[in-house]
Amino acid sequence: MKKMSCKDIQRKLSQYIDNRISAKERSIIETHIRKCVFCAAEKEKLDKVTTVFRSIPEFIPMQDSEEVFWKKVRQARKHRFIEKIRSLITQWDFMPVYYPATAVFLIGLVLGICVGPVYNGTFYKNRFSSSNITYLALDRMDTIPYRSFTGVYLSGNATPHKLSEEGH
Amino acid sequence: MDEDTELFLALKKGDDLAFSKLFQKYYPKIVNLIYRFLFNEKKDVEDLAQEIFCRAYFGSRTFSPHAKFSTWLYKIAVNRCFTHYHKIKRRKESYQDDDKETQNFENHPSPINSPDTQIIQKELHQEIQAALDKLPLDQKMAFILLESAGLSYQEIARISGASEKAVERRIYHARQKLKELLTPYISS
Repeated sequence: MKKMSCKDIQRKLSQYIDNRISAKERSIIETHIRKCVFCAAEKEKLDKVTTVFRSIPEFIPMQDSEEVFWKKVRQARKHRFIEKIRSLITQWDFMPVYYPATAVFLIGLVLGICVGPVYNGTFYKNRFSSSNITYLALDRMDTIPYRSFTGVYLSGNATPHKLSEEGH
Repeated sequence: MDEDTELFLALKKGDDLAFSKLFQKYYPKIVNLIYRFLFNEKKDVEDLAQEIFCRAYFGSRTFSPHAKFSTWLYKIAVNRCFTHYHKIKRRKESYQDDDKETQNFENHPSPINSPDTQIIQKELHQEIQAALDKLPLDQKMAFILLESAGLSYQEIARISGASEKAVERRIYHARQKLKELLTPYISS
């Protein structure tokens, strides 16, 4: 390691005081301080700065500081609760815009899925897809068989006398 | 994870007693940090300390378990000190209030010639504070955190959001300036 000048030593003194240098550097500085009066005086001054600073008496807190703190916490909790409710109420301003819009969309979607097929006839087709007889019967009641697949006699032309005519 | 962080995490589960322990441990430290930073505003010291602890209490949800509680708390304290300092500064500027306590030490009688030791001590403390007030804020805070709170360079770096090298430089310059400003008191 190259030899350190007084300037280098004085630059390192702050780190030396705080133990922020390597053991090797420390020994170099200590050896130098023993020989150099100026650097020793400089180190002494820096030590005194710390001593003088630490001589400021400590601030002694109030005895009831913890009680005061918990009181403040309780007050703050109350305040926060009120604020939360207040914010919810203030947010209500936006609700008329979004909530009904969402509700209308959802109702429309449900109705669209359920009622939509009725209008294009797919509802009946799907429901009685096993046979077109009933579907046709709805259009032309006169051609309906005397008995529906449910076993119930239908009104209109589907009368029992046709039963004998068709031979069933 | 250190004990303090565990205690603070217990607060998240609703354990107020855990926070009470932390309060008892850190309150005097935080109060003294504020006192040294805002020496001329003694009346505000306890109020600020209470506010810092309230912030810590209600900010527990934002606390990361990977962080160290003491560092996090000091960070809140440092930020609050800076905010308060700027607030006072603005207030003083607007009212052009000449605070007698911040007079230069040249205006005071020499402490060596003063007969009463207590007066000397009091004056000395005011001179130290006046000298500290002349330092840039980051240097002043780094020096106080090192000498008063007894924190390491690494912790100071984390609190101030600077590198350890930057903290080293700040403390070096703070010491140099204080040495110059307090020459009449340290050369004897």
